[in-house]
Amino acid sequence: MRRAFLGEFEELILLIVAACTEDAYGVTIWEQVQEQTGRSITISAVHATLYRLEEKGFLSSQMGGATAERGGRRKRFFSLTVAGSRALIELEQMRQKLWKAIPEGKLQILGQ
Amino acid sequence: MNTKNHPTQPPRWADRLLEWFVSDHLLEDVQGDLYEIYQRRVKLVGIAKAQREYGWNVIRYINPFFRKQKTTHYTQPLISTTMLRNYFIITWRQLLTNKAYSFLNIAGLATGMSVALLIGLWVYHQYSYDRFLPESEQLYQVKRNFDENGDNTLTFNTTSLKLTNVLRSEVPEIEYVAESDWMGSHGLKVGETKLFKNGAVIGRDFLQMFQYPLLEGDPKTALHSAYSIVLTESTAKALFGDENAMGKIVRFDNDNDLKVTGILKDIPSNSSFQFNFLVPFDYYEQTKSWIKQSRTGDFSQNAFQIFVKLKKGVDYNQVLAKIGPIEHTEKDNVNAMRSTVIMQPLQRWHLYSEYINGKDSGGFIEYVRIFSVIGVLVLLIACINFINLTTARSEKRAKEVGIRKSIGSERKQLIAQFLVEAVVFTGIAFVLAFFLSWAILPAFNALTAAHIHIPFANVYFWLITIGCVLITALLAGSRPAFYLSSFQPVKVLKGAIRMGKTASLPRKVLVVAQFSCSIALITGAIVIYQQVQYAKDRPTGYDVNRLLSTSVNGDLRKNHTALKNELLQKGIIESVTTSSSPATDISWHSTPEQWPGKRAGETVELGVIITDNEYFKTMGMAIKDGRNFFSATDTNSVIFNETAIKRLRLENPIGQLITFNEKQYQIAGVVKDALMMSPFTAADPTMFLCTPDVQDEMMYRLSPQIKTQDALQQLTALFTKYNPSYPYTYEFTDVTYAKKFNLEVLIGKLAGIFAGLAIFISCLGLFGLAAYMAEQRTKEVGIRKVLGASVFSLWELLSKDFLALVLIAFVIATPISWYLLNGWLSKYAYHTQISWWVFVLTGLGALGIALVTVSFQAIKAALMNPVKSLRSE
Repeated sequence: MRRAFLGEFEELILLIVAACTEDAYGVTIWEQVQEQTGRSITISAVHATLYRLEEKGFLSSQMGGATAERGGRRKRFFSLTVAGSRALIELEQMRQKLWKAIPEGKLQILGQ
Repeated sequence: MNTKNHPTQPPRWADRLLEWFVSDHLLEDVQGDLYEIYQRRVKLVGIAKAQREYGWNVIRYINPFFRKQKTTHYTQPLISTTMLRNYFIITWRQLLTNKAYSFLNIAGLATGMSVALLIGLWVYHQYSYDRFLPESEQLYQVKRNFDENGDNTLTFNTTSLKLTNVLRSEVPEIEYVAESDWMGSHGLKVGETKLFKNGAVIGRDFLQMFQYPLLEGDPKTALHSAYSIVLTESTAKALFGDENAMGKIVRFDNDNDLKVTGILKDIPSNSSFQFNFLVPFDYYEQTKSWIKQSRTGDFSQNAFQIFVKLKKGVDYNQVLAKIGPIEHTEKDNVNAMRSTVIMQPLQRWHLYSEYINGKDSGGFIEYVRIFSVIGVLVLLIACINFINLTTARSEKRAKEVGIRKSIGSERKQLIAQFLVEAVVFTGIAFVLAFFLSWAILPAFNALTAAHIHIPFANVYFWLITIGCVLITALLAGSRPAFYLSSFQPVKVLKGAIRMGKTASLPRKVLVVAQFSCSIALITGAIVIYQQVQYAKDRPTGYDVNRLLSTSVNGDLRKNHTALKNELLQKGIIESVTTSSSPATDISWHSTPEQWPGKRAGETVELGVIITDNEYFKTMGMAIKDGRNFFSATDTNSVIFNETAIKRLRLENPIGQLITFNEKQYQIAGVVKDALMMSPFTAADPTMFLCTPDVQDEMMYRLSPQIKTQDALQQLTALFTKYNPSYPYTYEFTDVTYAKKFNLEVLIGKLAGIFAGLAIFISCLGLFGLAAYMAEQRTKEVGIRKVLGASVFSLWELLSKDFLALVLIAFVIATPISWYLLNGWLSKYAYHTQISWWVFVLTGLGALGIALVTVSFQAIKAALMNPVKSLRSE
């Protein structure tokens, strides 16, 4: 099966959705990304990435939780799909393997 | 600021932009998130900054990602064969269930398309002139722009032999030069077979320039020996029968024997050159002393035509700059100094034959343009029919559209459905149109005197034709397709859709456009007919009836007196004359050097006719002042026509002296104007000189007592007796004169036919529309009848809308066609006035035809039994 490619930012968003304790939607994810990375990121970039991940099948969404603050509009809550979790796990495993493959000497140079 | 009680709103423009741009399925949560962020920012940084940030945030959503529609989860091939088959099935069923409507639609389209096809072929034929010759783009005719009195440029084809010498030796860009005579008729004789046919005496390189295909002989050498002749296939057959003509001898003008050195394929009809044989120019130079002398003469001996072929890749303008002032070397020759040498490319000869101020700016191309426009208009009228009939029936098909949409048809599928219908209808119409044109073509050819054929083997013809058919289908089908597919299923199925004023307005506009075109075409046809009639009825100034002319050839010159005496004596003719020009032309124009009251440097182009004292009597022209020539020896007298006297500004002309060709003449008389050249312009100023020598054209009027048939029999016998080596040929002047109207008569006929077809197609459409309207209002008519409406009032109710449209069309078409026709008429110096009754007549005619068409349906509806129409619900 062809596996969809995950970009760096996409992986980050996916991890943040996975890590969220409460229901994740646009604003919370946006705040989290900025908090975790310390970078300034536009909300549109976050939205675009979320929708793209949904198209690729890594995320699913459902609508709900309208508030007055939002002018009565519902939020779109994102959650990880099976494919999404599998993609994260595979990435993680590949990283582990690569870390283990680094020779001792080089690790010391890296400061570990 | 208290923000809790009055929650602030983000800027309106940004919201609008977002709502307009971001696709619906994303908008809600995107906008919600943006609002949430905005409210937080208001608390943190204040309203102004938050609003600015909101704006910036929104702008970042303006990218294609947020625009795209929700992706569907099933895939659709670009063209589904199943759907395509379905479209065709539905189309076929539509066609069969509505036979009358389909018939109207297809008949209208087929008529329009065959008109367009015929005109297209005709236009193509006109453009194909001379282009079949290889390297035709390198071929030119050399002409002269003559500066007359400094303000008017006249363009002449006449050139001198000195010019050919100069072009040959001084212009290296020119590959070949061919001098030529004016392609007159000559006698060809083989044994007892005599022909008098049109041919050219032309430069030896001619066949290497104009590469007409040779069946036998070599184009390089065929015209190289002075005593040779090249025949066309049919001339060779006429002279030699089935024998091979090559190498055989033809007696030319009963003077010399020429050897046949080549056989040409017959010259196609779309060639500007039309000849039956070619004789090398060297033959003339060796046998005619005046031509030999011309070779060493100066630039003013303009009596020949010159054709040139440029070398490959040479730029026309570059040569033009070089040859323009080439005659300006003879400083004391006014004629040469005022002449600028120009060239006209072969490809423009046929369509741009008229020179205005030194530029080939007009000619037959104008008629080609007019008919192209007519063709497009008629096709457009046919397309409008299709559009109107299809949209008018939209109410019927609205339910179909509604059901299709609600069970999941997409709009583009519906558009495809309707477009397929249009393509199938136009396709059927085209097949019909094709066979129709094919059947009409011989008649069309006979009418236009052209040899047009359908180029079955030409790939481009098919590509262009099929392209045009598809464009027509799109033109006719696109409006119905987009209109019908835009219906909203909910409204349509609820039955709420009412085709109100807005729906029928475009239809009405189209009907008005249709009838405007038809009315304009009809007025055009009538005015052209009137103009031709007007010019035909114009007094010619001489009597064209029973007047014959024969070219003086062979022994006719020698035996003229004997022949004349015998003809008169036997009472076959009542008078005879010879002249330098035939009765319907003036072949020589020149300017007198001196006359009383001449201004310095002034030139007046006069037609010059050299003849004898019998001329005016034979022609039937009246002497207005003074006298006729005493006798054939009255060589010191000159007679002018009235126009010439006016142009020369002579107060008391009789007895005055003028100088012409270095000789003094006394004005003996003034003759009334006669129309020898164009019947549409004023008479040419003309001077008549007298000579006892026999001239080139013999003109004689038959006696009133003798029957034409008997006269011709006796004439043939006598002419053959006195001129045994030539066949007797003659022309009736009235026939020749009538030929001057050929083009105008043809244009009038064609305009009439196309106008008739245009109104026919328009009426087909109107008939369909009226039928549909009547059908739609069946119930209304039924109720009205029950309540006591009369048939007349019902007829009025159903007809008046349509008649109003025709009236509007009339109001629109009248000023436009008046303007265009006035422009056309003003090109003729002698033209009729457009009278108001033409428009009234056309308007009434169109109204009448429309009335009959509509009434048929209206009365049918009005006579219907209300029980029947109200019974079913």
